[in-house]
Amino acid sequence: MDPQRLDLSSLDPTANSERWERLVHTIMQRAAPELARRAAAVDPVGMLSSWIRPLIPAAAALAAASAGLLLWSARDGGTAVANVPGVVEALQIPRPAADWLVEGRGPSLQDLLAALEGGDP
Amino acid sequence: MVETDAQLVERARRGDAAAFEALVRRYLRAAFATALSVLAEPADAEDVCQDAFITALERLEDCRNPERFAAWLLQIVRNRAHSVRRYQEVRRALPLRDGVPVPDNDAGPAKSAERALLRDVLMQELKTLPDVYREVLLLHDMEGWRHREIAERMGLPEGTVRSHLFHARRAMRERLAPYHFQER
Repeated sequence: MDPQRLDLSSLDPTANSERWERLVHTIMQRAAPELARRAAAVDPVGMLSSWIRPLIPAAAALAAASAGLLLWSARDGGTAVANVPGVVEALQIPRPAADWLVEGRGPSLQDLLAALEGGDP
Repeated sequence: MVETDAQLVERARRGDAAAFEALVRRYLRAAFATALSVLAEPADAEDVCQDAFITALERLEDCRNPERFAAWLLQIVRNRAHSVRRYQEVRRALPLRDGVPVPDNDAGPAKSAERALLRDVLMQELKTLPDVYREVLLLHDMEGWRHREIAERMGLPEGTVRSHLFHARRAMRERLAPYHFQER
C-alpha cells in the first residue's frame, strides 16, 4: 500500500455493491439492442436479412414500373389490334385462320369444317 | 486466461454481450473516477458512465487501436462529462430543488451518514483542484491505476502524472486538515 495515498474510499462507487451491480445491469440493458444488431449482422441469417431489407424497396419500385408499363400498353391496345392485319399478311398466315385473327374471334364449327375442306369459311 | 482489451473489443464488435460486459466491469470504476473528476455529483458521474459506454459500443469501429480501448473510452467519458457540466452551468441560473440523497445500502444509518459527510467534504475540496489533478488523483488513489497506466490512458508523460499526483495530494491534505479526518 502506498503510504502517500489519500483515503478516497468514501468515494468508491463499488462500496455499495448493490448499487454498483445495478449500474452494470442498466448499462447492459441499454446496450442490448446495439449488441443484438451487431450479432445479427454477423449471423448468416441476419446477414441475409440485411441484404433482403434493401432489396424490398427495389422490388417494389420494379413492380410499380411494371404496373405502369402494363397500364401504358393496355391504353395503347387499340393500336396493337389495328396492326393485326399487317402482321397476318407479313407472316403469310392461311386465309381462314387469318380471318379469325383479324376479326378477333375463335373459329366456329362451320369454320373448322370449311377449313378442313379447304374452302373459304 | 485474462483476455486483452483488443480481444474483448473484437468480440464486442460482433455483438458478444459477455465481452462487452467484461469491458464494462474492467473500466467502469475508471470511467466513474474520470467522470467524477469533472462533475461533483456521483449520480451525475454514473449517468455519464452509462452514456459513455453506450456511445463507445455504438462507435466501436472508431476505436482504431483496440489495445488502447481504455484511453479511447476515457476520452468519451471526459467529453460527455464536460458537456454535462456545461449544461449544468447553464441551468445553474434556474432555481432547482435539492437532489434526493442516495442511501448507502451496505452500511448502517450512522456509518452511512458519516460516509456521506466524508464524501461531501471530499467532493467539495476535490472541486477546488484543477481538472487534471482531480482525474490523476482519483485514478491513482481511488481506482488504483499506476502512474504508467494513467500516463498512457491520459496521453501525458509519466513524470507529469507523478507531479500532478504530488501536487493534488498536497493540496488535498492542506484542505482536509481542518476536518481532522483520519487517513488509513
